Amino acid sequence: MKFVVPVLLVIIALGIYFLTHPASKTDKAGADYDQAFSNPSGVGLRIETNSVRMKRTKVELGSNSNIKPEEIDQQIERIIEASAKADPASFQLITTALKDARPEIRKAALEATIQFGSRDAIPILKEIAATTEDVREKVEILDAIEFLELPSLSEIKRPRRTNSNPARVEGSPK
Amino acid sequence: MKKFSKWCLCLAVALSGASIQLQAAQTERLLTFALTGFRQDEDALGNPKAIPFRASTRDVLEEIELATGASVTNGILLMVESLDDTNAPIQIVARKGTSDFIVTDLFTFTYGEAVSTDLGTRGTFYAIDQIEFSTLNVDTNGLTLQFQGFTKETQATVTKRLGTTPVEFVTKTFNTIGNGELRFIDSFFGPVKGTVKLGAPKLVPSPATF
Repeated sequence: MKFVVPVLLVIIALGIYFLTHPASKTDKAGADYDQAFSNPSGVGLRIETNSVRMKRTKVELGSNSNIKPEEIDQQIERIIEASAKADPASFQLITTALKDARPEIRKAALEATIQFGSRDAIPILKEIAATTEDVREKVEILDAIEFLELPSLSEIKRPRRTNSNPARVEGSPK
Repeated sequence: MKKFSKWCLCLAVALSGASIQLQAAQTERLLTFALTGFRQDEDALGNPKAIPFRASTRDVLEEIELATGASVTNGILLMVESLDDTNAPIQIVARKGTSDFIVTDLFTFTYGEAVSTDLGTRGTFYAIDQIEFSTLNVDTNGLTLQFQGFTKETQATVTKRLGTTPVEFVTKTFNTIGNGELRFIDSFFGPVKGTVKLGAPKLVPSPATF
């Protein structure tokens, strides 16, 4: 019983130390980064560099991880609202959020990119896909690129009213 | 002093319990479309050629604008309002800020029977649902999207604050992946496939009570 209070104090002190020293994580990422560049063979250097860059970004942005869930909800709401607009500021907000450290923000941003519908997002998505390690997320980004590359329904307008191919019903074309 | 604290605690618990109202909370959910398809066209020699296209919520809103004449394309979100314990829409609106344009009549949701996993406060449902969007009732040059998809819906009971009042409601995710057809009044436009989603519900003040 005597030891309970000192042990608790030590735990609290350690907790405060780790909370107030996020830089130590960045330093680790920095060491990874240096290690990647010191690769003497050069084999796989590009891939490693990309993965390290992603790690660094996530750690740096991750220092804001004390953000409350309500704030995440608010940010997602802002992203959704931006997805319905067509101005450069909204595009900027969405594409910045694509690089966020938090997966829920990135997911919302990817859906917003699809709804925003601008092909200007394609190079940004390609760049992010190249540095994303998560296979599922990478596939989702590549699907979004494929989606945006297509002409939209509004763009193709209404070419013809009677445009079905009767061959499908009447018999396959030779 | 200890006795007093106990009474205070009991009173606080009783008060907070009583303030969780047994009322049907009204929620609103973002409706989004992300579809791809093919339309019929022809090449320079007149041979049939299938051309791919995409259709998102923006295109749906553009169709609404063309059909109704209302300006609903910039900064507008499609929102489905319903009671939290049902998926049946009370109202569907095209919303910008605080102004709503009601588009309920343009949509039909038909929910199929579901199989589910129920873990008390959490549940997952699987069903085949149908969603129809049609502007033909208001515009003979409009179009119809008939979509049928495999829906996965997750539900969880949570307590959230509506203003200062805690309200128990069901939060959900609703994701339908499937395919369908786009048609004009007298002709076929093309087959489509993709996703229709209803976003996470957000509580809105409701006069409805049990």
